[in-house]
Amino acid sequence: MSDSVPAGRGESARDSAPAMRERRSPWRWLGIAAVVIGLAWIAFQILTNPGFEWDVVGRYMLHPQVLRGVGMTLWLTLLVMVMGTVIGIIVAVMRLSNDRILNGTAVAFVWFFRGTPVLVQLVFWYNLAAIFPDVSLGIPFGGPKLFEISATVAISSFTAALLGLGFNEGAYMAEIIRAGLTSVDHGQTEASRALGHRPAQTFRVIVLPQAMKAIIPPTGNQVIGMLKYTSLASVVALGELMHSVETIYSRTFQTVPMLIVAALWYLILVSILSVVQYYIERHYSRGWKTQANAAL
Amino acid sequence: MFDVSTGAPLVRATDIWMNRGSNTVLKGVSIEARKGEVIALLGPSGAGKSTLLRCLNAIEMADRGLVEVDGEIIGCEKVGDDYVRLPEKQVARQRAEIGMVFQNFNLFPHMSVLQNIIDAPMRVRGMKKADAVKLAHDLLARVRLSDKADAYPRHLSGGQQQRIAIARALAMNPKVMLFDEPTSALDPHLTDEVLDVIRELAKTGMTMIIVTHEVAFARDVAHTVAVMGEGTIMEIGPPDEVLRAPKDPRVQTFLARALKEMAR
Repeated sequence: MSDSVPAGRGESARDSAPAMRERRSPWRWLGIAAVVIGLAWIAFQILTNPGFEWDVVGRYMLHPQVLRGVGMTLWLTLLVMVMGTVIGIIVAVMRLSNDRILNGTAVAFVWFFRGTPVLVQLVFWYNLAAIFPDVSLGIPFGGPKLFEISATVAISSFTAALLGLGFNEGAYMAEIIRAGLTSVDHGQTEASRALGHRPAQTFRVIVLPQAMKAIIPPTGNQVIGMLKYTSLASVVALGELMHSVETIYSRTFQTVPMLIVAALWYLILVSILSVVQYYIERHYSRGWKTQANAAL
Repeated sequence: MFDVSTGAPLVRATDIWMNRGSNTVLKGVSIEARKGEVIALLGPSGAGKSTLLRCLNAIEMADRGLVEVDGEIIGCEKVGDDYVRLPEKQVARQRAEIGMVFQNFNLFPHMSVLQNIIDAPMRVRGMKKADAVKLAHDLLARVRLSDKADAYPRHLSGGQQQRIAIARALAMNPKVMLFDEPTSALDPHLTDEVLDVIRELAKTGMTMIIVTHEVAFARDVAHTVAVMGEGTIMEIGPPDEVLRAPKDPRVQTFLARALKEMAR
């Protein structure tokens, strides 16, 4: 290349051009020193402070009761997110409808379930038997009943946790999904209708897939948040991860190492979810990422 | 030019009224298109051209007045002496017979060009995938974009996107094509490639109603030119009459201004 290129435009001229470098501030070194000292102190404490009881951490990391707790945490997170997403889609579609009653119901749902603490909702569901001794299915206001069960039987720790967290999550997911749906250009709906798609097809084939691009990142955030929020279910004595370590340290009094066990497990699970989220986001950004060779 | 048949009109809009808030956008507009006829709708912005077009496939519902395509009332049915809106599912079936091309193309960005074209024929018409793909390739050849089947809309120029949008509408084998300012969002040097495709379509005898600002294009391609203003059709007739010697003074003003802008 160099021979045919005229002088001043080829590689030879490049070395003689003045090179630029970033300006370095003297404060930078002070900042680095502060960080290094801070990290060194933390590492020193972690390694030498006997209060951490790392041997206990190691012993209980794969303890059967802890592993059962991990399993329950994952299972509850999954069910709550499924319930929250289904409720969220229904409420979001209601919220975007032109019908005043549907719209108002959706607003009220979000207002109530987002406006009261999830811990209060959990404990409320757990104590449902106090106001409704029987749960039944039938005609309301004293009509015949098709199905009836005692509330103390119907509302276990698990159902209380699922209902408490699920309705709350539904309210948040409704807002996320609504934002995602409104982010799709109205012209997309019009083009879809003009082609003869029925309303359900327009929603499922055209609007929702495009809304996913805006829905997935905050939903990933919600899943990660929910994984940790399930620890609230320990107050209704559900055997998830937090409750498992509580049960152990109330017996052995090794509180700090057991909390470290729980924290490490939550960190591991969240790390795995973050990787999954990355791949899902990549899938739904089809058509937006540079796929230059396919296109040009 | 394609010989326009003299039979019953294929598209007939009668006495269309439409309010938007306190604003009356259409004030009793009537228009007919015979099979194979190309109608250009001209007029200043806010005249109601696009709204009229959108009433023809019930993307927007008129408050009063009837639209008929091939003898079928669009968007409602007669029950006794009343006209009652049809459920959206049935209107969807009617819209499948009416192609529409938008100012902003509105290609589906999450689908490749091929998927954009084959989706509705398969999903709405129940066409087999192999047939839909073959049809799509034929249409892509017609709009001269055979090499773009696997591209995503985002990577195409505006003119290419609009040609794909035309191919997508044609894939439904519509009885009539509606164009809503098909070149208004395009750079001037890209409008011709889209107008050429529409011109060729006119030669095949496709019935078309085109909202446009391109007066020269309307003169070349349309059998009938309608100039709209303030929610009415101010003047309608063959392009030679309407564009050369308009009778209505408002049409004269509009055309003088439009021609001045073309010269610029």
